[in-house]
Amino acid sequence: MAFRRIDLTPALRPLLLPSETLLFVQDAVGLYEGRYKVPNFQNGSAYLTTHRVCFVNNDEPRKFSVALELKDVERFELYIPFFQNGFLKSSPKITLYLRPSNPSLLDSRDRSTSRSPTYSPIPTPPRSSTPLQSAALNRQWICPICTFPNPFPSNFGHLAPIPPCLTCGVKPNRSILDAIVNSHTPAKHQNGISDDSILQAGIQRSKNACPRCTFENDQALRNCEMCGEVLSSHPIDDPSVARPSPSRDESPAPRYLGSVPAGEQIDCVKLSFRGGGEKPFHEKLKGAMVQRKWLLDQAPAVPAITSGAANLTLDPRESEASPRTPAPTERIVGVRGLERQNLALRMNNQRAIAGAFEDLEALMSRAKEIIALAENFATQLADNPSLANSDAREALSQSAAMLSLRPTDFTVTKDQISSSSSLSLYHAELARSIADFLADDTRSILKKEGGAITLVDLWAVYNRARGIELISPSDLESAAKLFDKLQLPVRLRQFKSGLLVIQERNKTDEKVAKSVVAWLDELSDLETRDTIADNKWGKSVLAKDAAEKFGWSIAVAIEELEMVEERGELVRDTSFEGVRWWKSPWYISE
Amino acid sequence: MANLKDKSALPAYYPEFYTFPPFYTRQPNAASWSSQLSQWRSFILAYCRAHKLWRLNLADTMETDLFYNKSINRKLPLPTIREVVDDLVKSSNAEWLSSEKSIAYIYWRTPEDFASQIYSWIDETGQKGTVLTLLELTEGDNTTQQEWYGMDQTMLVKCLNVLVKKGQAQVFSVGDDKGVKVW
Repeated sequence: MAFRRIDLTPALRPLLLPSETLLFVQDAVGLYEGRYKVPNFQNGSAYLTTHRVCFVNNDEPRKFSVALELKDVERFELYIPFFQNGFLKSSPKITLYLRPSNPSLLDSRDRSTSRSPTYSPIPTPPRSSTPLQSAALNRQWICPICTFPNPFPSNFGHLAPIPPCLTCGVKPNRSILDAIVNSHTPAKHQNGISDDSILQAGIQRSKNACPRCTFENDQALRNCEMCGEVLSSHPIDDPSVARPSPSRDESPAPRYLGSVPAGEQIDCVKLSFRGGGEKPFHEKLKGAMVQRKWLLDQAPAVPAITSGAANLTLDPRESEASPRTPAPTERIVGVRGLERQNLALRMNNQRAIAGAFEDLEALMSRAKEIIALAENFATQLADNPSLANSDAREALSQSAAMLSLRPTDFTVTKDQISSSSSLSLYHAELARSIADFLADDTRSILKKEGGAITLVDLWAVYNRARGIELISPSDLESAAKLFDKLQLPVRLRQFKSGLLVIQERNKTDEKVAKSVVAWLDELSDLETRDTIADNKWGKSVLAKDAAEKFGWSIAVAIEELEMVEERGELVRDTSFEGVRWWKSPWYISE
Repeated sequence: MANLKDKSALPAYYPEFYTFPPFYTRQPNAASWSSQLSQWRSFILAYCRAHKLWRLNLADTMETDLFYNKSINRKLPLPTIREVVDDLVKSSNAEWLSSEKSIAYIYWRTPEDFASQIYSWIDETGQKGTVLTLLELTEGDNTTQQEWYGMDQTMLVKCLNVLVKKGQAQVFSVGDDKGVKVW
């Protein structure tokens, strides 16, 4: 079946793909394959995203979490039992009918991977996309005159005009382009026809030799390290490479599938909504299936304006490949040509910006483009020495940074949670999303704050990252209180004074105390070395010093020091100058 | 005493913590506080003994070297002094003069200790059975070498009362003066 194991975030939510967004979450969901309940997949949360339906088991999320790509779903049905509270109780279900798998693929795979006749870890490629075009985008032809690798024309055909080389302007011979078309297509067909060819493809893939320069690249690379040629075993063409999961064969879902009575074709998957919430899920699913966001990944972005704007921002190959490219009638060369080109480019950028800000919908769909534009402006600005106005520069780079915050990754909104389930699910999801937010390596918020952040600060930072759909302080608090229950990598801690702080789970009091005392020891070592006078009491510190040293906020520093004092390892010295902290001479460690 | 600023010149009965700034702050931590408290107790007793101090006027002594280390500019605050003295009272090393807790007698020996000392001195000097005035005991020429020399009259009476209870002495008034007879 098309179920795949998925990666989870540290907070045990499904790891979303770059362009994927979460649409809906529902707990108390069970999974059926065909008519059969799947063991271990009976109590979990269902996550609906723009690309997938994910199931995360409540008890052992790391083991029993799978996803189904929406592109493999042909149609779906909502089933609501008539007597929901009657004698024979049955939960409402949503049935997802899968696209029939490609038979040739199936035959070749089942012997090598699984007992199940229906097991196919590789979903069929999306039909509605235009594979030829997307493949053409990544192809190149090499100019025989100047050896520049030009992008393959997207509209190549027998009648289409042949574009000239981008650098030297000489049209290539048609046979060169034909050779490229021929060299690529057979390679595509080879994939998965017989066992032998698979074996060979596997060997070939394992080495990942470049078709142009024959350099053996690492498997993970998409382009050749040497010459930049697109490698044939492109991860998008073959998802099994894109998601290396060596233990796939042992993964629970497929194994169960193997035990389904032979001859019975499983063509549908059911989600059983024991806690309700099937209707909003159905609605969102309908929306997702209509929108088909996954197709956008392959498409070269919004066509209306990409033509020019992309020229500046995106991969030049891609933009050249778009239909506008060659205007062979008016070819102007030299400085004037460059000027003309620049002018056109500016016009297009202008259009892109004007179009994007027309309404929010458009902005979202063009977000990528606008971010790229903003970044580009920022670098241009930074490079330009004549622009002494640092304020403007800062503002621009800041807005670029704001744009790249990508709030959607961390957002859980109330309307993603069904109203039928209690508020606690919302809080649980919120807690998970906050934990993800804090654990995100690119931001390293906790690290910047010295491993502890006050609830107030977190509220501000988190809401800024969300940008829209802000959360209330009370929601944050309720969510934070669930950290422990959900076993997330962060925990909520209340200091003596009542100050609430969020900390990494592994940051225990002992560790903090140890580091503080070690720091004081280190300071007094320095002190005795520097000065002749022997100060047997060592060195004292203010809370401010500790805050600077460990990156805490002052409030956290005071609380942490008091915590260490509570343990008896520090003593305080209150004077009119403030409270100084000393290592305790009275402390006897157990 | 004259040059306290020089740390090395501190008399031996000064505790090492005398120069430790946190020593002058009441530690909130119970374990730290109990160590600190016992240091302060022994320091007060040792100090009073060295200086032959019998009664401590807290407001006055606050400014003395006992509670005020000028070299590090730290002094023990009054409430904390009270707390320490309260603890001394508990172990009968001190006694409040009044309920205001501003003046306290400091017994750097317990009344029992003093009583037995006085008894043995009277015994050694063969004065059993004779009547001695209290002034003779505390201010007399014969007792200058004794530990209780210069003791406060009220305190002396308390100590002698220990003997009275044991039936070894009798205290009576001779006009304004008080006398004691030990046998």
